[in-house]
Amino acid sequence: MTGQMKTPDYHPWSTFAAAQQEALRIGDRRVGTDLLLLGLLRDHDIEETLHVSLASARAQLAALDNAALAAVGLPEVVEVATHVDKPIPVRPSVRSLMQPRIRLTPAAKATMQEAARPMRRGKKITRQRLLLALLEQATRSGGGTALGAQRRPSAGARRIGGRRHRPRIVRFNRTPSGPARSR
Amino acid sequence: MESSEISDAIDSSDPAIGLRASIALHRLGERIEARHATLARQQGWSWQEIGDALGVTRQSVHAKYGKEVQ
Repeated sequence: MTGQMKTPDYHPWSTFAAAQQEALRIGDRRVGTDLLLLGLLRDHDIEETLHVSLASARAQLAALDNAALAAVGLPEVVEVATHVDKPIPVRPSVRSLMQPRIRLTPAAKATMQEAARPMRRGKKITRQRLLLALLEQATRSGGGTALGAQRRPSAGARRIGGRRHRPRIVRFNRTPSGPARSR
Repeated sequence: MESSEISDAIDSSDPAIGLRASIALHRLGERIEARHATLARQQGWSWQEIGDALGVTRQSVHAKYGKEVQ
């Protein structure tokens, strides 16, 4: 991790924009923590840090979807990629982020906020900071979709930092009801 | 597969798997919708017709796919 190193060529919204492209690719209407991770993995440094390639992470996500479909008795979906990525600017405009109408899930929003929380003026949110927040989010929610995607709920309940964390539905990146709250 | 077998599988599954499957189906549905809404436009359907087919207004279909098609 680069720690204090400033990266003026990066703005966290570009990761959100990349995650939106991932959402469009797989047909999701929300950006969850898993898609934020895919957005981060578009950066080669992050790929090297995690020893995971973007392609393998995408394949893993598709495999999880297919495994879940198979478990409820539905056939595997053979993917035909039709989505064409748009170029992502270093600092996307608010308008361009709102236009696809793909919002963050509550868990992903909390992760973005967590990444920004210890920051003060003059310090940038780095990809590394966002990755750290994702890791923490995954730990808190007892596995997380982003990283240990196959955790069973019973294994998630354990004591972290003195508090008892129960596994929650946020692991699946969907709230049970309702449209995204306005920002 | 018989539909009763599918509903058995849905009923008997672990919620972790079942919820994940629900998300996977949402994603699949969106992909099918996007592909065919685009196809319909290419075949000369109006936004009104596509909206009617999906059970939503023409405005909401246009807002969702308008930029992709043109």
